[in-house]
Amino acid sequence: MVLATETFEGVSKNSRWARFGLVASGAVCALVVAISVAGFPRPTSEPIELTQADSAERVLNCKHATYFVDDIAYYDSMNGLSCFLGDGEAVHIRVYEAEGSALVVLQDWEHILSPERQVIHTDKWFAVGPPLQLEKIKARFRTFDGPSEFVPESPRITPRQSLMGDCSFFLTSSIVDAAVNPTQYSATISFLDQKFLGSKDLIESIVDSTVVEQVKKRQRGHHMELDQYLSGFSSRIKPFCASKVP
Amino acid sequence: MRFNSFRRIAVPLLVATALIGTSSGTALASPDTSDAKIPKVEVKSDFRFDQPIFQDQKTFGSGLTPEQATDPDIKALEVRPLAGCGGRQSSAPVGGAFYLSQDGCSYIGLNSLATRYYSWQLAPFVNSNACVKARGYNHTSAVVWVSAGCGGSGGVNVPWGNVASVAKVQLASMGTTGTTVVWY
Repeated sequence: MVLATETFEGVSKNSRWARFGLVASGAVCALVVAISVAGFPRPTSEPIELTQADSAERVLNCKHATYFVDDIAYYDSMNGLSCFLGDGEAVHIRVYEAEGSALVVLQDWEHILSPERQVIHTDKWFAVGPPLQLEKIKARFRTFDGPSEFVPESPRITPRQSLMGDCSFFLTSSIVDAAVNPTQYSATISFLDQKFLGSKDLIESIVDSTVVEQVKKRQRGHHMELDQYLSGFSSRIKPFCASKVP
Repeated sequence: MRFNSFRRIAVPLLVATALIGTSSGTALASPDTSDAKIPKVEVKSDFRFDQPIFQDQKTFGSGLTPEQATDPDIKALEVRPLAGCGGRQSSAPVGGAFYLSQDGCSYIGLNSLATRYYSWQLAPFVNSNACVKARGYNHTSAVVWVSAGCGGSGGVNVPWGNVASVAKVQLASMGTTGTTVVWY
């Protein structure tokens, strides 16, 4: 018992000396930092986290841009931007919510990378485009190394996450089939309805004459316009898939 | 042996002609007036120079005006199908997960609006239905996966753009056993 008290007091004294030392060294450090800052030009602002793709638009000088409210083929939420710079150059930015998602999705982009089209990323977002443009993003937003032509290894997603992505992909694609390919729609939706009960009702509550018209119109143009339009339905399709995938 | 020697010389020549022709064809055609236009063909890392390459007539003409489509100089740039570019057979085990196929034929898209039609059906004596996704490229040459349907057969027209790459699909078995599909 006595031994315990002595030990406690000893620790107590040591703590007081430690605290004094800490305060003293902190003050010295603060002084050194203050002198350094006063003596040199103030550095530009530190890179910040990128959470919304459109906040990168300001540093890119896009001639026009296409915005995505979600990734219809992946379980995680996404917001994205494809920024067109003229002369055929484009920068694609995709921002996900879950850590690791950017690396999973990037695997699909790997074989289109080249010296002229590279990537910067963290584990939540990536940007693909000309290296000069990526440097502008990197100066403003915190990234891992890069620009690079190489994509790092991807973490594995769970079978549930994978199935949720497939559910969303095929249900969203069924909107297109319902509009332009009724035979294929009938075959596909009957499978989806077996696997995810209620699929048919959901898609048929979405597809009306306006949707059919919009899908047909966007199918004649570039595929990106169709993807952009379809991403608007994810707020109905993804919660449905989340509720149906065990 | 003589055929192989012929291929060694003829195929690269054909590809070179197609690639040179593609740039000038796009410049002549200018089917896409947006800023997002890709002015030259992009050769992807998986493009194979040592296998049949083709761009069919129907797709070739899709982005051209009627005058351009009948212009003999533009038509001369067309790369015709070569023998050996038939269907591919790919399998997926039971479980519902998607598996990436082996490479299909190589394709060169001759303008930013070029498309490629994929079709598939269950292989003979296979009862387990499948779902299939087909790979294409959008007008900025980024990868897009498009549903080619579920069941016993399906098909879809995917965007291909000014890209030289190989066709690929992903397939999953929807039944209680694995599945095999033949796809084109």
